[in-house]
Amino acid sequence: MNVSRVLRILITIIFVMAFIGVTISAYKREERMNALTTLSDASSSVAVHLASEELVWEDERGISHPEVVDPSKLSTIDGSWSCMGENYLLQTYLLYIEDGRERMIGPFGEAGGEKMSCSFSLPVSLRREGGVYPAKLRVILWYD
Amino acid sequence: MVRLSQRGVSDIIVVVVMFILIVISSAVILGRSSDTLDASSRRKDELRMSYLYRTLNKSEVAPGVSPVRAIAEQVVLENPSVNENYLRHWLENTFDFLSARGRGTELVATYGNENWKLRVPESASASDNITFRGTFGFGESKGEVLEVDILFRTFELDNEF
Repeated sequence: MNVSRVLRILITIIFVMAFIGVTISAYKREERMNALTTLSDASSSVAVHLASEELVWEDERGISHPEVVDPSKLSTIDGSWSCMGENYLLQTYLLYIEDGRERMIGPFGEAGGEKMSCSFSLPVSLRREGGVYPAKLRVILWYD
Repeated sequence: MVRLSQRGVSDIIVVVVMFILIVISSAVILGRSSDTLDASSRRKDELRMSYLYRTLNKSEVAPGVSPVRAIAEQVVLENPSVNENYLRHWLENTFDFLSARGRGTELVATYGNENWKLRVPESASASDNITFRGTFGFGESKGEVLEVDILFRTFELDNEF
């Protein structure tokens, strides 16, 4: 009878500990997933902001063309970004095809090292040498 | 009458019930945590699709001719300004370059009963679709406008691609 009771208590303790362990691990996983989701959404916000506002090409009459990127403005990008109370570091570059080969302008901004990062490539148009070509604006984002 | 506690049957039942509860709760707790990240990935794919259309509307496949205009011309005009084979080759390379990794792209331009299709990669099967619809209008001298519907679709590729 005593042995049975001791065994029952031991098994109960093991199960309770296992449940607490699973809950803690799930909480940490949830926290990481939320951080990744926030980073992921922020990376697309930054890319849209750059493509639609900061990097837009202006023609001779001063008219802005959203989603048409002026490559000379890439070097003026601030390497940090604040959104919804979070601060981020960002690295940006532009990829395009010329003579059948993929070419890159950049990167601009410092890499965030080993920290959690998220990258996003947004299709844009690149104004270059009198023509407008398809390109990819790639943004890599880190928590500051 | 036999008492359960004396045979240890109640102990076994309690242990089994606790075990089942811990397995179910672990599966529920750990299983739901990637939903928000999946939703974020889908939002990104939808955004990418919308910007793919804008890119094809603003870039040039030939001097002064946007790819969207060139696609619409294939459906409406007998002598489009861009050769069909050249346009297909150009679009295949562009979709290959601009699409997200592991995703293919399809477009269908429709005017009345006429349509013009392109899928990259050609033999891929479309599943988990995200679509974007656009319209390109040709003005006519009588004031009428010919509107060509252009449907873009991105889909997840099988592992073989």
